[in-house]
Amino acid sequence: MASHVVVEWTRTTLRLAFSDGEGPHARIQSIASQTIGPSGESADALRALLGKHASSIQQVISVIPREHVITRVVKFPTIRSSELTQMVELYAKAQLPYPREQAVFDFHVISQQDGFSTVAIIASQREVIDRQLAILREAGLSNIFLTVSSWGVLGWYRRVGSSNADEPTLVVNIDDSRTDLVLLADARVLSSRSVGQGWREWETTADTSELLTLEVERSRAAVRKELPGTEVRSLILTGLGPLSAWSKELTTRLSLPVKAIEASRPLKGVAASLAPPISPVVVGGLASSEIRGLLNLSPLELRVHVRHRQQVQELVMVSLMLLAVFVLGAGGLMLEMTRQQRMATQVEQALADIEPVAKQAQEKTRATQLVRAVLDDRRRFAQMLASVFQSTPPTIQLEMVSFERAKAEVGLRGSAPSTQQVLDYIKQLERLSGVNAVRLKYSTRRSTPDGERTDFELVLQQRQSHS
Amino acid sequence: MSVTDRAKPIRSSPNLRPRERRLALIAGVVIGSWVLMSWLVQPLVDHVRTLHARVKAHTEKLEALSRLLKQAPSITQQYQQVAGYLTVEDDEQAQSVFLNELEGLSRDPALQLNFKPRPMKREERMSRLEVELDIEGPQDKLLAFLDGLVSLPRLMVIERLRMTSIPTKEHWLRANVVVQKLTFHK
Repeated sequence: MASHVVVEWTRTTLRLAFSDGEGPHARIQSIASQTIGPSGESADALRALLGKHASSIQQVISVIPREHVITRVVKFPTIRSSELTQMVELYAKAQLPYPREQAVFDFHVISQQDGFSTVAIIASQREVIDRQLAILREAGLSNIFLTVSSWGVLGWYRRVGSSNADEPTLVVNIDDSRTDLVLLADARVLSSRSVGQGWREWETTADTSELLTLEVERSRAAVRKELPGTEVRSLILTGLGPLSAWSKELTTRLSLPVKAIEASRPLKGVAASLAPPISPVVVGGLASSEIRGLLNLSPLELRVHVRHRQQVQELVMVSLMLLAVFVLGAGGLMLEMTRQQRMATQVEQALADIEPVAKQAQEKTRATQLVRAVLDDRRRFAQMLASVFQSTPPTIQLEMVSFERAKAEVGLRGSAPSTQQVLDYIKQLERLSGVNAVRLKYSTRRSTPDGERTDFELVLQQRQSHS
Repeated sequence: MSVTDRAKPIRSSPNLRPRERRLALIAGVVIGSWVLMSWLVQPLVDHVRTLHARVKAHTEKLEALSRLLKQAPSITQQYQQVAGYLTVEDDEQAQSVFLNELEGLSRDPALQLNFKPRPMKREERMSRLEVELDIEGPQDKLLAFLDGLVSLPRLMVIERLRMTSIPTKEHWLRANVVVQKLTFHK
């Protein structure tokens, strides 16, 4: 189903182009037209033509005919977008023929050079816009964007392919009840005019080519006036009527390369139910254009509403994405949790299987270590005592030998014939393998019946075991 | 319906202005995100972290035990080498056997031996029996006794020794020894 629709009213017909999106990649599904009655534009006619598409439409582009807008080409001394907007606003207030509150306008930049911007300001009476909006809303449509028919011609030209003509090229679109003359270059609208005669009028006139030539010349004159130095270099004739014949005559009269291109050429494969013959250039062109590249003639409150709607949509989209991220994240975490739980179960099972055997091994290791420590302890004790006794010379009399395992100390108390012998004894003890240090607690000289003796007490610090 | 009627300003909600609606929506999104984060995502993250830590700890333990099991043959071999010291006895039996052995060491009539067994200290996996020995005798006999004590094929530790000469008796010694006998429980 179509999601986008372009709505165009002329004096005699209502045309719709349905597409599944916007921009050059959008597929135009169908183009339909219908003659409008003597009452003119009506919501009923629109509703009837929308038919089954009405419910699926998300975006509406409504076309304001070129003849309902005025254009002013102005040069401003800035190329900054924000300054340009302010300058255009001031200009519009002062120079447009409508009071500001009764006008809707937009502008587009034609060229920028040396700090100057040449801008085309396009304005319409508010009443025209409101009338069109009211009908669209009455037909049940919302999210409406309003633009000028000239941008439809630009869209069609892009779809044809710009290699067809030298630019600037004047595209003459002959419709049933009007003719658009749009000057295009570098994918921009440089100038545009619209005349109230269409194919119906040209057909009944004998000197059509002369009149067309006259209108083209008028456009060229207008271009020269608005954009000095800009010349039309080629002409494309499209729309309704004997285009080939007219183009030959125009070539002769204008001395310009004139090319006739069928309006439906870039719209091949599009289903068209064009009850009264119409030129599908504008609706087809707009259906394949990006909205942001179009001139915006929507009134301020509609722009605000559209912006608000877009922001809400974006917010909803962000919220949904956020929710999706949360859901995906939670899903990922759940998967990870399940994986970890499975791993935990497997590891715990393996532990339960291995643990009794491992515990036995641990017990055995501990018991072995304990026995070894005890035996080492005893061995060191015996070695220490044996070493001490072997190292004690006969002149040294030991009165007391003590040992404390907790302190790893061996105490020796005795007497020697001289202090020098005590010192020699200490040196000897220090050389013992199991002794870490020898400390003299005291040494006292005393007289005995056998002569002088030196009493002493030593503490041997046992070397700690590494096992 | 007239054109002016049709062209009424657009109002999506009679109560809230667009700006307020946007703010309400943003607030809703923020609160919703917070709720989802606090009640769903964070608990899941915590749970996954706990599980991850548990798996890591258990895996490390499993690896350590596997390494230990790889050494099981050498552990068993070493254990068997010291198995003689690890006889499993009950406390009373262990005490009487040990005291008998001490008595056996002091059979020499030249030695005077006094035992003072202290109360047995019972621990989780083993018991500790401390015995204080007072010995008096000729130097060579007493040293032979000590030599025998140190060589006893029992799980025993010499905690303290105090050996003094007796001034009135030449080559005569007095010793006070505290030994500790370790016994594994049945």
